[in-house]
Amino acid sequence: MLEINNLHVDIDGKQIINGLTLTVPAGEVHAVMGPNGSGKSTLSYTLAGRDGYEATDGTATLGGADLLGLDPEERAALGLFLAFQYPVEIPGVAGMTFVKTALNAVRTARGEGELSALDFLKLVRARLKDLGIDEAMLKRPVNAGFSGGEKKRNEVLQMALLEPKFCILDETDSGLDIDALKIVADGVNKMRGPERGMLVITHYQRLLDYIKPDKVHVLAKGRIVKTGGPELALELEEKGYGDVLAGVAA
Amino acid sequence: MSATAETVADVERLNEKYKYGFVTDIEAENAPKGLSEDTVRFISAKKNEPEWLLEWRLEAYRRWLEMKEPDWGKLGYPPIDYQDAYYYSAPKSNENAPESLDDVDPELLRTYEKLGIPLREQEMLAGVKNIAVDVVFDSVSVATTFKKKLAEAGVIFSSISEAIQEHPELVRKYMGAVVPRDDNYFAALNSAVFTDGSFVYIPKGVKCPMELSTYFRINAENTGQFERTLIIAEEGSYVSYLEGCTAPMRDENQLHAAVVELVTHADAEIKYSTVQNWYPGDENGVGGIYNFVTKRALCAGDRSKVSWTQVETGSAITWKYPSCILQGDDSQGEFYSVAIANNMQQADTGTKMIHLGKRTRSRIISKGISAGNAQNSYRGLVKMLPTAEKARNYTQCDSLLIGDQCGAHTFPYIESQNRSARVEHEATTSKISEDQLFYCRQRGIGEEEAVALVVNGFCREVLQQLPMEFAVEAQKLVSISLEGSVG
Amino acid sequence: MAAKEPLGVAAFAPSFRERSGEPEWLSGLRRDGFARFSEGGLPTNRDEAWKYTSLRPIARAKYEPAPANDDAVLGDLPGLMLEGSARAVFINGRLAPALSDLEGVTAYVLPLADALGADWVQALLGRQVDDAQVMYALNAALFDDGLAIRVPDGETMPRPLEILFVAAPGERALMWHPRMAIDIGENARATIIERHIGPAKGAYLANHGADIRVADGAVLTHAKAQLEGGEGRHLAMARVSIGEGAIYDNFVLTLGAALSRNEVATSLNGSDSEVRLNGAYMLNDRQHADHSSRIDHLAPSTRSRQVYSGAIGGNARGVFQGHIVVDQIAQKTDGHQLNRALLLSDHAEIDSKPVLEIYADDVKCSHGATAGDIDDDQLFYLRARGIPAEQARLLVVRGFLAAAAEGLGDEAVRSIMLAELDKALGLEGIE
Repeated sequence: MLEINNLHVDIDGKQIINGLTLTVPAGEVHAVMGPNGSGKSTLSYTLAGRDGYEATDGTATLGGADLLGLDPEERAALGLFLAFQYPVEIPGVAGMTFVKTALNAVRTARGEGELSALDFLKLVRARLKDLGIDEAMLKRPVNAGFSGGEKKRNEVLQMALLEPKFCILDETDSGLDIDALKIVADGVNKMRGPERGMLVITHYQRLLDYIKPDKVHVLAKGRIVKTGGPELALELEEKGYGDVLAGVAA
Repeated sequence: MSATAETVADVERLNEKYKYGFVTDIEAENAPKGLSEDTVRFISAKKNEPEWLLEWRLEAYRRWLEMKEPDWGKLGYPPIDYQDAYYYSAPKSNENAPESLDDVDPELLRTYEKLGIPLREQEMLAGVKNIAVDVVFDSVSVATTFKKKLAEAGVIFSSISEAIQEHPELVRKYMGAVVPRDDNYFAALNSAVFTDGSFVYIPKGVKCPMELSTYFRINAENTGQFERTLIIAEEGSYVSYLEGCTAPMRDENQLHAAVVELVTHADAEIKYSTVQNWYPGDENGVGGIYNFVTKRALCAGDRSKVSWTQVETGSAITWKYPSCILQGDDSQGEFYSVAIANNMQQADTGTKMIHLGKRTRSRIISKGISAGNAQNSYRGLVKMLPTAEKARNYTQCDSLLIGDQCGAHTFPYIESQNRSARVEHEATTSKISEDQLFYCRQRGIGEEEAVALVVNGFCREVLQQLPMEFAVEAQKLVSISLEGSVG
Repeated sequence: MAAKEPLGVAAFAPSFRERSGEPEWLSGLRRDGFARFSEGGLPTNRDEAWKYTSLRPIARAKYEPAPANDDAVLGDLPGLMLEGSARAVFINGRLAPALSDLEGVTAYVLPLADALGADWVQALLGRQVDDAQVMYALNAALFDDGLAIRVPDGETMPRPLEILFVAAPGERALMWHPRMAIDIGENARATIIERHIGPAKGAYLANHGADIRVADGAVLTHAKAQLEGGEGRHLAMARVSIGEGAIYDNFVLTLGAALSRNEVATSLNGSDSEVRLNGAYMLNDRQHADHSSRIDHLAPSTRSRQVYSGAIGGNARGVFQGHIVVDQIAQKTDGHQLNRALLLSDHAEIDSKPVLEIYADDVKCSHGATAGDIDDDQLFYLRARGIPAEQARLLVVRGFLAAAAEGLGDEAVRSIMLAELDKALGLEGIE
């Protein structure tokens, strides 16, 4: 599904991702863990195609399609979804307008045609119900004045609506208390399925108590330095990154 | 692609961008080219005006000759040759004013259909719209709908030419009362040569039963349009008035110099909305309307209110400051504005709020968007006179820049002579947020659409002031105006 | 119709004379200056840059150039504002060496006349003058004295410098036009404090000009307390160019003069440079005080901060004009300006014109302006704590004005400026 091979990324002339290789097959959830400054956010922005995050070497493909040459919206149309660490506020744009515009853009790009207003509303209401979110959230401007928890739930709602093939969750636990974290994780878990892959990027093991990964990768200095099962996350939690990284050949 | 096919494609693309850019093939009767006392007399005679009005026009013309074209706006354009334009152009077939819509040239009706303005009352009645429309084509009002229904409520809604004939006492009392004929260069010009416009009178205690609307269209070549609108709201009355403007695409610049005067008496309210989409010229700045407009409201009565809402997307040059003189105690003025300048457009627009009465309040929300090579300026005055006890003003003035070749400027003048008055002014200028654009694009929304979405959000506070049908149209217009501004 | 002579030219023409013994460039500068002044004359409300401050009264005042200081009648000089400062004293616009104490800074501070041969002085004084800088042009034509202050690269001026300007007008209305040339070299530092004082009676015009360069990496703290006499008119213009990574930190406290205008025009020429222009003013009676500023952001990643706070009573009038221009290449500019005014009487007036002119897209610029009476809530809060109404008002005003000094980086300088404000409010020793 998602295949990253020997990826190199420079930001302002400084090498942040340095030969990263990673494969996430369909139906699996992988976690990428790493200390601050290891390149976690750079990885998610590079995969999503943010300006200024261009790969200098290596490849990244989703379902066989090359991601790196595409615009962000083309990657989204291919089925790549990034749940932002800090979802952006867009004042004046109602959530409903936003998700409708996004959904129709993605559907049009996929050749599925736009949904009628009625079908759209049905779909939205169904997803809201699944996730236990009040429709009022979509009447407010996108993320504007939302609490941390509301923002993350809004991300999950959009994920559920856009039905991506592959989800990247960038530090989804940051800024959440334990109750909000459970709700968000519950939403994410509902999205798991045999056709869908996920990459959960996190600093702390805590999130992985609720979203159980199939594999855990440790990112350091822009590369995957260690891969293991869920137990690796617990080891990191217990011993800290220092110990685990010390055991890795430089 | 062959050269011809390419040209055709180009033309189609252009038409896409400015879909009102067609020309209607109608025989027109023009006044002789140029401006002189004779032109003024010709216009006045054509319109069969009373002597006092001819004298009024001639005095305005003489004052105009002594005045200097203002140069304080942040606008650059070659000198205007006032002798190289026609000051009167009327569709010939309309020479004897139509008795009913059936008498209106069918070509004209088709023009308005293309513009999305159905004039036939039955069509409008069949639809959800309940808007009375006055239509000004080049210089002459060609049709006013729903007259009967309005008359039942006592509302007068007609062309100003008709009002001069039918209600001379009202016109004479109020014309020039808010914008004196020598108020400024362009107002004086208009006073000398205005050819038509709309007239609205809402009697005491009447809430106008429908929205009133005027569509202005410049069609003929080398023609200036000089319309004059006068709206009087008597005690306790209310009216919502909309104006829309379009013009064909022509290579030469055309002049539009309008005057709008509003008067509200005690407890009356006028809501005046404009969607200005005159032809802005092409990407290289060829052609487009020069739009010099004087709009002013006198809130004469206590507790009266005037609210200006404008969405300015058109014109090569915009020079326009809809203002309020808040004379009555507790009167209120509002100015909500979206001004978009793309390509080579230049806009210098804003408002004046002059507080005279006690506890008068004003609110200014201005959203400027600059793209391409455009220059967009907000210019405003808030003045608290010594009599303006406990008056309040709040001004929020935001500018958004798209691309690094455009400019956004803010020129506020804030003058307070009353200690109990409170004035608050805030302004910000920033680039369109890359974070917001990336967020939209990550959700699959294309770049241009993302820009349109973010800009519409930025303008929301203003757009939501517009009546529903206009709000939807305005949102689309915002998107169209910004096409080609990114990438 | 015969062309009308520009305002005030006849009044100033007799003062303009060719001076022997000056370098040719200076003679040229003086001639150009007077020619420029003669073209437009004294500015009035018709000039956009002077919209709210007309100098028409100056044309009628018949100011004569102040004679040398021999017959000036002086009282005791006030003490230093900032402990340990060196001090240059000017009487009626002329340096009084006997009253000055420049020990330890003589290598940095020279009478302007002694430095006219230096290239850097010529370079600073010879810079282009904008059309609106009419009084500055007049200053160039008429200055008799001034200082040349220079801190070489990498050095710090050993003592802060206080420049005390004392007005001692006599029977006749006098005028003077002192000029400063200030050059702070690369990575150099200096603190300059101006104090302007004058007696309650006696008409005079002080028309100051300063040319300032703050080179790459340098920091100049430049503060001014304007306590001119009640019949004095005070015009001051500083033109400042700021190099890469440099900081120009300016503060003005305006309390005196019947008419005053403090104008600062700065160009941020190097990237990562910063300018802070702050000021507090308190006006009464028929005082008129104008604070005008212009900031040109001419390089990327430059920053400007301005806060002016005023309290206006009596029949006084305050004017604020702030003009930020962001050049097309000045991406990542961060500019903010704020003018806040309290109107304390029924006849007080404030006029603000905070202009933004922006030609670059990646910028964050904002301005704000407020005008109104004292906040009743604040007043009530203080009174509810037992503070009498009048005292409470003073405290609220003090707090309002002092906020403008927060942007001033040098704490010692900030506290002497606030002390001066407190003295005027009758709140000495409050902090």
